[in-house]
Amino acid sequence: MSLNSADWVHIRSPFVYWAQTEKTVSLRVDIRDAQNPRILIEDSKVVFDSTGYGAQGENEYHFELALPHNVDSDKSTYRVSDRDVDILLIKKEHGWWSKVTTSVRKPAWLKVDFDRWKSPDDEEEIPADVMKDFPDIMDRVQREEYGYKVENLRKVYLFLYNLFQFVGYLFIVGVLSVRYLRDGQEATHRAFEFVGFAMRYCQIMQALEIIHPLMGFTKTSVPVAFLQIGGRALILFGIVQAEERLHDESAVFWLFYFWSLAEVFRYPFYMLQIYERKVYFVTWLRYSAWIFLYPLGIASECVVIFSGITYFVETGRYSVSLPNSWNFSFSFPTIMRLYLLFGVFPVSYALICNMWRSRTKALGRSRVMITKQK
Amino acid sequence: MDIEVCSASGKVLTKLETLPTGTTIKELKSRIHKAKKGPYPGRQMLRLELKGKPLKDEDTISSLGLQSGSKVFLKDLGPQIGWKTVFLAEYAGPLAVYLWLYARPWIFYGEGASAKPYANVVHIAAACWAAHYAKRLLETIFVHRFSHSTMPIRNLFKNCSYYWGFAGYVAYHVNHPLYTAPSDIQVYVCAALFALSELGNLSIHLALRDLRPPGTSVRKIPYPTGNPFTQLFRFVSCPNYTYEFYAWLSFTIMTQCLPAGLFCAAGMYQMTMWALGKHRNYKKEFKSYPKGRKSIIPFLI
Repeated sequence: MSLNSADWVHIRSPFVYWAQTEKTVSLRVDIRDAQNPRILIEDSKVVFDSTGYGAQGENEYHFELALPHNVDSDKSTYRVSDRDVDILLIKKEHGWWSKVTTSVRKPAWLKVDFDRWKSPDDEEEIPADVMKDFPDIMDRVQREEYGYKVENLRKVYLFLYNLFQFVGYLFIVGVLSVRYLRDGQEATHRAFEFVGFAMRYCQIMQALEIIHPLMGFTKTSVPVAFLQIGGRALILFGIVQAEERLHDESAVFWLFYFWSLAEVFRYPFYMLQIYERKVYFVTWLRYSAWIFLYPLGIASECVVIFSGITYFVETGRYSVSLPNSWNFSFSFPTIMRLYLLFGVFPVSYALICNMWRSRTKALGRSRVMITKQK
Repeated sequence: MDIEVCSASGKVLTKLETLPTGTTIKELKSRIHKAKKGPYPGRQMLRLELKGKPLKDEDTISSLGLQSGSKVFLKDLGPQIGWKTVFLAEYAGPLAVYLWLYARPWIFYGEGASAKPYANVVHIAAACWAAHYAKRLLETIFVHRFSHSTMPIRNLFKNCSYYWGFAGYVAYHVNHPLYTAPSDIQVYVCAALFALSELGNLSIHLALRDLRPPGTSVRKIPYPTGNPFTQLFRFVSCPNYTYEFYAWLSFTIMTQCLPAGLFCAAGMYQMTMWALGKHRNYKKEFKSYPKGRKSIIPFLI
């Protein structure tokens, strides 16, 4: 049906929302209570006419869409409901259409149907496949539609969390380094005074790193995270904080230092990972710095625990002694001793094996071997 | 017929030739071992598929429908140890450890601890503990019939750590010079309950033994016998575990000792897992399995 310029004045177009899958294109015409709809579907054209309630009230509506690729006019269908008219075009050839109209300028009434883009009708195939093939398309389309990219809230949250912890531990490393460079050995007795608050704050925040995999936000193993973070929390709060006489031990300075330095290398790697970026140097640092820092950290932990034993024997903190009506006893210093004698080696061994395995997986066999030869 | 024996990686280890159709899996295993292509038969597991079900020793190659050129896959189960051996080690340990701590050695209690007074219940507890484990040792030798003959050797260390560790933990507290005894009535009532539970447990073991003909590993639904203690079969699939739990519960209340309670709880947890599994297997294997039965605690679980 050809139109001359005079007719255009009277033409009102409804809003049409389009979406696609690999095999189909759907056009959802926003027109309610469509009366007498006439829909013409040809190989490369769709023409729509109907009376109904649309963007400009109760009116006669019309639109024409010249398609960039062919569709099967016989197999294509449409469905009229109270709320809209749903046109389903079956593509002649499977594939992705970068646009749905041949006209250079996108008509104002043609919109992207984001709801359908994400989750189509049940009878269609999952568009998730399409999303995986063309991950940039969603970004581009959103940018064209809205003028900006809609950020994934979860990614933003995780990024901010990792950034926060990075800054926290960097602060601790910075303060301790400066103090040590300036005051030397004397500074090692004041670690708890300088950064005790920051250490405890960041350590408590780390509880989130157990919640994240639990909620499916990250892919770490929950029990491993629980053991690592729980173990550190036990030493920091259970032993160091609880016993004031430990606060000025040099071992505590080094403990804080090695723990924090290891974290400083870990968080930037995660921040990049969230946005699927990889910087080889950051990855290498994250998977190599521990080789140096873990043994030092473990040694510091042992010295701290060992130093604490005498104090805990004296104060009897966390311990229950006989006699009592439940005939129960618990000796925390004994646990400390047993851990130092029998627990440190197996736990450290398991930890290091785990890290080494991650390293091989992340850096690849050849790279690991090359750095070993160095 | 000829059978190909392959390793877990699919590599052909050996070909066993001209086997008569009545050859059992047991004989296959001993052939493999003689050909020096596999460990001793007790350590071998043969399967028809790489990750399939293990083949039973009594099956024959004809009963399994094997043709000439069929493959069997060999898996090394690791060093094995006999079930009986493990049980004896598991039960002798607690007996020895408890009686040693009963004597209040100086190494745990300091010098002169054995001279300090012993409450009555401490003697009764030692007798109960010793009787329990002596009974277990005798049952292992004379009563139980095991479905499997061996288990991996690492189980020996795992199981012994559990039994010996808890024996030390409980014995240390009950035999401690600073132990506080509960009231007499609590002691005597619970001691009686302990004895009854032990009798119940023994009754169930004997009933289960009679259920299975010697030398076989036949499985039948257990029912109450003439022994009144076996009436518990009407309510649970594994009344032996139920009586075991009641025994340790009685022991805990008799000694009013939290470590004994922890030992009871740990044992109960493990036995519940086993009972649930056994109960499920009974129901799967026997269509006519009695409906009202629970696995370990009547009406509950």
